[in-house]
Amino acid sequence: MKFIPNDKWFHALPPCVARVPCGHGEHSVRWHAGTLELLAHPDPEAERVLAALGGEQADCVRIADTWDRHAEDLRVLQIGPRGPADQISLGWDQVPKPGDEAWSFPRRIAAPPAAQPAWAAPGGPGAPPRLWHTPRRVISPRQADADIERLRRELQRNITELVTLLALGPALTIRLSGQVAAAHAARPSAENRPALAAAVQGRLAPLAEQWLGVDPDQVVIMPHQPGEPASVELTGSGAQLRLRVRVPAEWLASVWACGLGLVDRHLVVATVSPGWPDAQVLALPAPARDPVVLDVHGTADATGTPTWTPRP
Amino acid sequence: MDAERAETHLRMLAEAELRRVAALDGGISWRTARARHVANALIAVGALDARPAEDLLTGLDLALAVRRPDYGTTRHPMVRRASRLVKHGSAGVPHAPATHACVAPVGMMVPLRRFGVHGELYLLAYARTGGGALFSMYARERGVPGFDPLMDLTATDDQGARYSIWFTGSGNPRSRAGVLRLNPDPPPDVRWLDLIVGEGVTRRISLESPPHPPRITMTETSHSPGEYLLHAVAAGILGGRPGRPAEPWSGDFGAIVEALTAAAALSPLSPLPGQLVTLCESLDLRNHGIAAPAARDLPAPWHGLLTHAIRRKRDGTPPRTGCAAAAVTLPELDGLTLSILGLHSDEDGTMLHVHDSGGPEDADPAEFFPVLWLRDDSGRWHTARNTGWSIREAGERTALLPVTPPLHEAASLEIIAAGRTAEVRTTLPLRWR
Repeated sequence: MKFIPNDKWFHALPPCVARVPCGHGEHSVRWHAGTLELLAHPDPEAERVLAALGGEQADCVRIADTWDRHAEDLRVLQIGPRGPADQISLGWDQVPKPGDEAWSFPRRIAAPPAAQPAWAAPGGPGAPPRLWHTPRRVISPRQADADIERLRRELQRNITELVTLLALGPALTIRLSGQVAAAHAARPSAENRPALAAAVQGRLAPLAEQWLGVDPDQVVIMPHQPGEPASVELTGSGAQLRLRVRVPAEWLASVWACGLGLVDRHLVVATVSPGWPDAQVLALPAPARDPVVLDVHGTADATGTPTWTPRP
Repeated sequence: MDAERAETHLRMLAEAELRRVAALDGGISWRTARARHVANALIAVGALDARPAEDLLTGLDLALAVRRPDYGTTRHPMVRRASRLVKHGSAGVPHAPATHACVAPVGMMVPLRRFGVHGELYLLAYARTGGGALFSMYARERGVPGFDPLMDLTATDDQGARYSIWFTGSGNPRSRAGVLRLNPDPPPDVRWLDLIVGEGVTRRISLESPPHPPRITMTETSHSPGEYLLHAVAAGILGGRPGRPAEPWSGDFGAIVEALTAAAALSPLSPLPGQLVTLCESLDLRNHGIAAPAARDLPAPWHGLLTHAIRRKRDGTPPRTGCAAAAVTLPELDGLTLSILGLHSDEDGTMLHVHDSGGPEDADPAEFFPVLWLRDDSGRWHTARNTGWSIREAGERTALLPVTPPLHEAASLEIIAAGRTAEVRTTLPLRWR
């Protein structure tokens, strides 16, 4: 089977809305066609200018900025949901306020490092912020103290930001995961391939369990070369049984993030004609079988999580 | 080695750990120790830089934390992983320059009779290092507690210069071991020192190197980085500290072997995994998880130490009490220069006195230390573990390494220091007192 890339990975996703705390109330933010829209803030750019001049930044705008900063951050894939069944139900009361110490992050990363880090401050274009750091060289105690304090602040900010994004709810976080995956799948490299392969494994393995009843640990993601056909084969038996899957990283965005992973007991390996609520996908009825083209129809629940069924 | 495959393997393992732990009631971070142990192993063999490993493991911890229902309401006792991980193995970690220590065996007993304390001070070896001059020593003391007979020692040299001396080391009310440091540094051409221990007790100590220094051979190692790590793991098991340098629980050995193989740090044809299986199962460590079949033949040091370990319960012979003078500086091994500065044995066991330089300035020296196999003149194997007292100053380290099993009677000791790139051998005559 041939993988067919889609320019717009999110065409098979419906809009979805989340309520976020803003000022003394709650506002709605809406994801639509790959963009996060602030429904109560028609001109966020003007608000950013006002904030830069000393005004107070609206929480909605801050959340949108956080979304943009992490739109290519592979840690979203590592920390975020593996699927609708992977419940990360964080409430806004669990998100640290700006200036609070981030909750429950590993103590080792809060421990004062003994030396100066070698990484740049977060937020630069094209350079996802580094949440963690590595001491690289020994420096004076005074310089180390200053670095420790700076790193602690950056660390707190980054953890707070990631937790904030998770608090938007699984529907939006899965869409953000799709955006991250699409950005990196377009430019595979030795730096992002391991994280992408693990992200595919972590999301495809539970689907394979539903599909065939195989233990998720027995799902092996094989390296995929550009243009190579996707493949799924079952080898061995008993403890040696392996489901060997070869799909491109783009599968994360155009298939998994769109809720298309498993439709009518078929494992979807690619979208042929993405769209909402009707789409056409390439799917496998069983390992090592020829793929079939399925016409599917989607419905969304109140959170915007899609469910797909074959179109009659 | 293949860094991309190493990182991919570790990330896949982290995914499996997340599934496993998140499925438990309120995932607990310390259950992810396996991922940390595998990461340590991959870093130790140079297959993975410490920084991506640190990122990955911390991400795993955070992924688990946000899946807990009480996230944000309590502080969870997350695993505190020492900064050791980020310090070892990664490129860019600064190393102190290795300095060659000039050493000479001493082998002198000096009676201690000061402040109402009676005892003996054994001087094992003299070393003149980049950080200064020192004597390796062992002292037994009896008498008035609270008074330090090693305080305010002085010395004069053959040119009339005077030195103050102070003790650094470890001990108990009965005995102490460590080093006596001299201030200022004696010049390199000094031939002898008169050590003044008070109340009219003075001893002249020759500092001249012996006319026939021990012969040292150095050969390139034939082990892959993964095999070296498994040798270190075996030495740790046999020496009583499982898994140095990776410190894994034996249940993680299988995961470590898989990771090393995936990262091309260990050949699938290597006999080491099968040999480790034999070792583990002989010691009743049956949950090792290594898929390889048990191997019949073991490396000679493993076999020798395993035999001792199996017989240990029946071997009630107390170790010989005494001190053995010995001194040699080995050629630089993996950036580390190691000097052997004698041994002492007492009721607590046998300790090998060493000095090293050239290790990473801020790293746990255990991660860079060679595996030390020792063979006495009766053919019995021993290993020296890097787990005893040590002190690091100015990029140099002085340490006491517990020897397993303790030495009883040995007229000589063959020392095999196995590093990642080479192996150094020498045989030291031992003069016990």
